[in-house]
Amino acid sequence: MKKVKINECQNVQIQLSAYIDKELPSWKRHFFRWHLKRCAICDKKYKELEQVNIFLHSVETVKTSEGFLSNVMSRANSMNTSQNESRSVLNRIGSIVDGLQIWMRRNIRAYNSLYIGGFIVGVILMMGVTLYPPKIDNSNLFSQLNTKTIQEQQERLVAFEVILQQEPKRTLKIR
Amino acid sequence: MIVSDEDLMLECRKGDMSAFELLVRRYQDALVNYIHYTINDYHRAEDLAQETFLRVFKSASRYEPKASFKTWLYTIATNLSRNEIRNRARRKTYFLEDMVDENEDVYHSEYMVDTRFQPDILYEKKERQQLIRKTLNQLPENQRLALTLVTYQELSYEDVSEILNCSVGAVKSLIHRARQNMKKLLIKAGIGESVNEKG
Repeated sequence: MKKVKINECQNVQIQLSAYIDKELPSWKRHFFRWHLKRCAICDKKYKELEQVNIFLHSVETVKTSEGFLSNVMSRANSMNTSQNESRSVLNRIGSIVDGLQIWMRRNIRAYNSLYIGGFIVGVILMMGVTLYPPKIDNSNLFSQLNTKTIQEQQERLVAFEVILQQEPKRTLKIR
Repeated sequence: MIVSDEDLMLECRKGDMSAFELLVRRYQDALVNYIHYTINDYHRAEDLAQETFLRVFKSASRYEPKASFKTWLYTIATNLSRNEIRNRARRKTYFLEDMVDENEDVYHSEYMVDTRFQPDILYEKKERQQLIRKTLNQLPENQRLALTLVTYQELSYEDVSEILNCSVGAVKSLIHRARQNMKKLLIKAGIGESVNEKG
């Protein structure tokens, strides 16, 4: 076997697992095959890793117990029914609202005399309110609020006076 | 004609229970094996596999066929396995295999005396398999998960990177390190002597 460069060997050895798992592109696989034929060290390492793989594959797989599928399905079914129940409460409310809407559409029609009468009364009331607005005395409404603000202002003033009566702790001396 | 997993999932989203049953039938063995390899406890593996399928069923209404169903399924199973591994580490759960010395016969120990129905060859094979499982369990969490997904579930590095939420390069180095560690551990356990002999 010919001697191959050390860098090349390092590169090959790092990617040996990817070569075993067939995760390398075809041109690289060809190169690896060519390299392994020529390099005894890399070939040995490759065989070691492949042997590990063979050991791992020698472990027998286990089968699921007989009741596994039925257990999963029964739990999924119970989950499904509980979800449906929670949905059914909302569905009931929705159906009641729908029913009410249908009843209103059927019984309160646009040409119904009661509906027309109610509509006319509503329009007249709105027009009356806009044309003749009710007179409200604003001064009475805000009188209480105004007195409060004056009291607050007086309190502030008293407080200001008290502070002014205190003697200053330090006095400036002019030389 | 074989219906794809994604189509079955869409049917399941509409409330078709038979589609969900078909999905469970397709993946039950593979999933239980995968979890069994990662946590080395068959009964717990079945429980976690059931939990995985129920989570799939629960989130079926939100399923969008953008990613592969298989990758999604294994992502859920991997997260559950990870939680289990961490919980066990916290609780320090011991197994029969861990209680017996490395060189001692597992099935002839004082913990398990009855070996009437185990012929020698079958016993040796089983013991060897158990040792390989035990060795696999000694690998660091991510190495174990990556190696199991590639070796036993035959998933591509790209799928594994999606499941483990890392780059393809990281998966490459994880698997390479996992195999090298496995080689050392197998030699230490006395199985891997032939690894060196072959070379």
